[in-house]
Amino acid sequence: MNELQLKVLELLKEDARRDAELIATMLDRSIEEIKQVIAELESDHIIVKYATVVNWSKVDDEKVTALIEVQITPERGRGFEGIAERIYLYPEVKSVYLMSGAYDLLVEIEGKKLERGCLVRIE
Amino acid sequence: MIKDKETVTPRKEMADYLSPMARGIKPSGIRRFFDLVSARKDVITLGVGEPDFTTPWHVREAAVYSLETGKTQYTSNAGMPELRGAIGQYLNDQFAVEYNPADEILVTVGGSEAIDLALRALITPGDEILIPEPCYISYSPITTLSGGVAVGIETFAKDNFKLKAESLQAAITPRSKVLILCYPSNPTGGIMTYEDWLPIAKIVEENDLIVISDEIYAELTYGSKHVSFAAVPGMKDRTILVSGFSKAFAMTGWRMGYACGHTDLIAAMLKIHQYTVMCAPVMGQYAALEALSPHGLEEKDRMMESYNQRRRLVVKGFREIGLDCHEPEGAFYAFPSIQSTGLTSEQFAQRLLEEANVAAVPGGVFGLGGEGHLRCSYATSVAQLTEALDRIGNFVAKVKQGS
Ligand SMILES: Cc1ncc(COP(=O)(O)O)c(C=O)c1O
Repeated sequence: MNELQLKVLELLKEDARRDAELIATMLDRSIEEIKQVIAELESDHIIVKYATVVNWSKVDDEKVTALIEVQITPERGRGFEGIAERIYLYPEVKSVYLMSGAYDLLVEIEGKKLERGCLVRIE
Repeated sequence: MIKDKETVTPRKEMADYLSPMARGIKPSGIRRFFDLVSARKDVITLGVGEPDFTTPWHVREAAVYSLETGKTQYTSNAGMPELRGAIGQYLNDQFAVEYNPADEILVTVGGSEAIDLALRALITPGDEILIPEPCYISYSPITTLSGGVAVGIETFAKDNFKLKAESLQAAITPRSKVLILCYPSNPTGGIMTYEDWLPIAKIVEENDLIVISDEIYAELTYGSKHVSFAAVPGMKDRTILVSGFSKAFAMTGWRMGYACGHTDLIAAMLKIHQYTVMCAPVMGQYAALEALSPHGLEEKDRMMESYNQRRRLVVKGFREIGLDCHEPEGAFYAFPSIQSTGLTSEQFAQRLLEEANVAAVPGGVFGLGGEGHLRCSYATSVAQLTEALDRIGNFVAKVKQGS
């Protein structure tokens, strides 16, 4: 990763809609050069995709996000992987992190308000 | 004896009790303008001369830790020895100037106090203080308060607002005593290179002047590295170098600055400092010490890069709008000319605020040579700058069409 690539990434990370022209001006490079850098970052999957940060609570106030700490017993030969995979197949699960410390997995879920009952049942 | 609650009417108007010097100085033109701004909604302001970064966390944490460990007493009047040592080391590393922390460095309440102390220590009533303009707005009022006579020297956009030897020479009289320099410049963004300094140094020498060099924007140069006036051969003993942490380290609210110079000058300034403020705030001193650590310097560089990116955006924007904009090579201001619109800077700024909801400072408030320009600080977010440029572009097009 060279310095120019890093600077382009930093500018795009702040705002993915910045176009090559703006970035070229800010970094004092040609538009062509910036387009090339972005194309490379995309094809190398360093830039994975351009997503939108949505404030869902403004769209639907029934929606909630929760972080759940999960303790599991590793399976023989597969460790945490099998259970982690099972967990992230649930559509409500947005991410699963392997943690060090008092518990094993941190599961981020998104769904309707908690009063509606359990969102995901983890066996 | 005056009884409780009994009111006694003063014999004169209250203003008549004030000293002629306090009465004589004008309120800050920037403040006056920004009182108008605060009354409006949805204004984008390019007005304030202040970083948009919050002080980096590790610097804030150093101040918090100093409180936790009970560091709440006065420090040595000149500032903590460790901090003076760090400032000396920093100035030497960055700008190749050498000061002895023991008696050539004084930690002050912002660069502002350092300027005040320097002028008070030097001025005998009637002395002429040479001030290249357009410039930072505090030099002339403080000169007046100290009994000096401020003599403006106009600088021009065609010279990128550099101070020219001819202009300096023309302003000199037998009463000239002090030259105030501020490069990189607020409000123009102009800088002086080593070659630019040489003829100035010659005149300073020939006329036996003392220089107050306000180098608070020294870290903010884009292209060539800042050359301190004190680093010009023969100039160190004639120069009081003023700087501080407000701009480069994003620490305006902490009020941390310093002055460096010949021990006799610093000793005189220290006397005034002792009687007026005792010492700079101790938490701020701990924070400043952290700001000069390797980690702090790294953060500073990160912020500099970000200003530079925004500077390019703004200069290009003004040029596309059709406003002449000399390349600002330092500080975080662009100073485009608005003469092509046929408006005065005051009219332009006023109408820009009312009709386009963008606030910037009319160049006229910065003294000679400022009229016809607008000071725009680009220390604000890219989104705001882009929007502000759009609004200014539409406004200028409208004015040029004559409506
Ligand atoms: C040229 C110049 N000198 C000095 C100062 C004062 O800075 P400080 O916050 O260190 O008092 C400023 C602040 O705007 C400035 O622009």
